Parts: sequence; structure tokens; C-alpha cells
Amino acid sequence: MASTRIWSIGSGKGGVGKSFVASSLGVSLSRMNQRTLLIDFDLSGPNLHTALGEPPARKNIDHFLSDQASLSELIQTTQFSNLFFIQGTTNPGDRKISDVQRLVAEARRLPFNEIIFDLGPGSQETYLETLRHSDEKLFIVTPEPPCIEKNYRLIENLLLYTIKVLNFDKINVPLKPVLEQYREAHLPGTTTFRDHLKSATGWTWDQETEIFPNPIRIIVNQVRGDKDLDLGPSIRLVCKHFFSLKIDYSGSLYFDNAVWQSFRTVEPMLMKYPFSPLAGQFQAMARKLLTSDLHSQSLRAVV
Amino acid sequence: MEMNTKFNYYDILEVNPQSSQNEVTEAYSRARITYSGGNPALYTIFTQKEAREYLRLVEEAYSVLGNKSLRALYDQKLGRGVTGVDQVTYEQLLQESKITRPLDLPKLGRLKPEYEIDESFETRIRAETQFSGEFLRRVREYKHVTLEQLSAITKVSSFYIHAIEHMEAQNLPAPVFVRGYVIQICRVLGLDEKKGPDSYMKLFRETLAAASG
Repeated sequence: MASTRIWSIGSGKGGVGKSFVASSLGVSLSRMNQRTLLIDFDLSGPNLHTALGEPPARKNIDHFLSDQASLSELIQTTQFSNLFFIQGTTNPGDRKISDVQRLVAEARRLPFNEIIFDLGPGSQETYLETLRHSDEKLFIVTPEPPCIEKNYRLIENLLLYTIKVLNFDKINVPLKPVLEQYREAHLPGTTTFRDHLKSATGWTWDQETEIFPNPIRIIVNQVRGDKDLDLGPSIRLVCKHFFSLKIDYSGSLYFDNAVWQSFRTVEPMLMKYPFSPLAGQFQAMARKLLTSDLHSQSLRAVV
Repeated sequence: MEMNTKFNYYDILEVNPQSSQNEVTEAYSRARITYSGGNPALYTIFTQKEAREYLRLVEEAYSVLGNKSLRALYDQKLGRGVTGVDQVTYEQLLQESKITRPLDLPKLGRLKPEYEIDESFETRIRAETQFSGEFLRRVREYKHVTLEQLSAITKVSSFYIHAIEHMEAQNLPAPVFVRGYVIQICRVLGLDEKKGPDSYMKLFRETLAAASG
């Protein structure tokens, strides 16, 4: 189905709220009458079912990856009428790029309007490949330096990975050292990574859309004070100045005990605390995400 | 050949030439927060030294874009293809803005040839010691300057100029302001900027005292 939109929720670090954002986004989309499928693709520790308030399903994505079942056989229903999910696997296995390509291609053929991949932490190639095929990439950052650092590495890795794939026949130098060189030789205000790439490899991008049709979007989660609200815009500015890469800041979500409470009782937060400030912030952010492109024009009346 | 991105001031603040002054100021405060010491968003991307350099660029960008006339001058330069932050500085722009500032002067100079010189009246002007409102009005009319023209040049409202010429203290603000207006008027009419206002203010105070006493 050509109109299927694929979302990926990633982060450089674990435990920052990927599954929470993925499940809440799924609930929001399904409430807007979009047939939505959530796929738990966290290969290190799947927990999307918990965030959805469902027991773990017996059939999981491993059955698809090891050719024991088709993807459509794995789809589980949830308590929301338009929302479905596919259970993640606890078997890390040896996943290849081709597995991801098969998974994404098969997912696109399923009769859903929106498909959300909940990725695991870090930037292994399987995740980068999933992100590359996604129409929307959401990165979750929390205001702690280790998490910010790991997300910068994820952005860099995705950027280099995408450049490499786009130019597999033109660029034959490893890109990582090019980036490290640039880090050393960087001149504030006059050079960016884009220029450096050009002089090192002869290839560069003229417009952002040549690399990412839609910008990487940053969500700042577990915000504990108003000062943390500056983090998103700061990351956006730093990415522009350092990489010459335009990223989008989608919004901040306050740290909320309600989330932990709802995890404990295994219930979706939007369901259990629909009137909490966090639920309000999330709805506002989801609305912004869904109206930020032409793709969703039909949704606008519903929102 | 290396092609550089060349950030301009707008890129530094992450705004565009269409942004309002308000948006520029907001963007400036965001950018300043970003590059102020210890912001976690810089972590592993920019060193402290690089952040300080960016902070300097942010301040410089705002000192230009935050000022309407410097921003207009900068926009002209951008239109002519000057783009990099290393190609133009705040000091240069400030200097240039001072050079173009005396644009108003020819307007004043143009007044001169528009009236016929009457030697006897010129002598009287030179000899005059009593700069009354009536005298100011006569010099103005002799030089063919209308009330409106005088008001447009001095930026003093024509109502006040009329009141000054008729010594109508009740229609004028405090004497200290009146003195300023008279200096302006004398300058435009080519009268002595010291003697004129001194004499006028003396007469003005006398009228004021007569009115209240």
C-alpha cells in the first residue's frame, strides 16, 4: 500500500521512553481512525507489550525473521480497535541487513495506514537500516549528558550510514575517520561537516532532502524543570552548525510519576491517566507531528 | 576547490531574512543559551573554545540583526553576494552606517538658493539682539520656509512652532523643551545657535512671568 507511513522510534540510550512514546503514538494514531501497527523491533529487550498493557504474545517477530511465519500471522489485537501489534523477540540472533529489508517490504504490504517500529537502543546496522527506510524518524533524548552524547552518536552514525548507502559506488573511503578529522579541524562559523565531506570525498548534499526526505525529529523526554525545555532547540542549533543538518524539535515531555505507576499496573498511560499533564503534552506533540506534513492533511479535520 | 557553506548572521541565529525583529530576538536568546558555558547540548560536539567562538558570533550576529538600520545595510550586502561571517564585521557595518547617515543634510542646504537675498534684511538679521517669536517668523517667511517644511526638518510639531512664533506659553511644554526647539529652528534658519535661543528664552520667560503675574 503506497500510503503506508513508517515511523521509527529510536534512541542512543536505553530506558529513555522509546516504548512509551511508541505505544502512546500508536494509541493517538489509532484514535484518529488510522489503522496502526506497532512492531517491537527492540532486539535486546522487547517491552512494548507492557507499555500497551498486553501480555507477551507467544508468536513473535523471530518467527518471521527465521521464516517460520508470515508477518500477517503474527499480528495481535489490542484493547484499542484500530491498534495492532507484533511481539518482539528475546532471541538476539544474528540479524542481517537483508532481514530488515524483508521485514520493511513485507510490512509495507500489510493493510495499515501507519506502522511504528519501536527500536532498541544504540546504532547497530539493523536499526540504522530500519531508520533509513522510515518516513519519520523520532529520536528520544533525556536531559542527561550520557543520553545526549549517545544520541549525537546515533545521529552521526545514521548520517554516515545513509551517505554510504546513497553513494556505495562513489565513496570508497571510510567515513568515520573523515568525521573525526572534521572534529579536529572544525572552524566555528565557516566550515561544516558538509564542506569537509566535499573536500574529503568529492561528494556532498545540496539539500537536506537528498539525505533525509523528512528531518530527524527530536523528542526530549523526562524533562524535570523549565531549564530542560531549552535542550531541544539547542540540539537543533548545534546540529545545524556542526553538520549543516536540519533536524526538527518536536516537543518536550515532563517527567511524570503517572507513567511509572501505569507501567506497574500494566496499563497504557493515555488510557489510565488521560487528563494528566503528560497526556496533554503528548497529545499536543502528536498533533504537531501529524500536521507538520502534507501527508496528514486528511487527518487535520479529525485532530 | 573547497566550497564553504559560509554561515551568514541569519544562519548563526537560525532565522531567515523574513523573520520579524521579535523572532530575531527570541532566536538570539535561544542561541545564547545554547552556547553559554556548560550547556549539555554541546557535549561531545563542540569544545569549550569552539562554543566561546560561536557565542561571539551569536553576539555579533545579534548586534547587527537586532538593529534595524544595520540589518537593512547587511541585507543589502547579502543581496550583493557577501555571505560569510568572515567577510563582514559589526564594526564595518557600523562605520558604513555612519557614512550614509548625513543623508538629511542636502535637504537643509537646498533651502538657501530658494529665496532672494535682501541685503538690508540680512544686515538686520546680523545686527538683531532681540530674537522674539515675531522675528523668527519674519526670518522664516523671508527665507520662504513654510511652517510644515520647518516642522518636517526639525521634527518639531507645527503646532509648537506656531506657538513659539506667537510666544503662546500656554501651548508649549516646559521651557527646557522650548529651548531645544528654538535651537533647532535657529539652526535651520541659519541664525546664531547660541545668541538666538538665549535671547528668545529671555523674552519667553518674561512673557511667562507677565502671564502668571
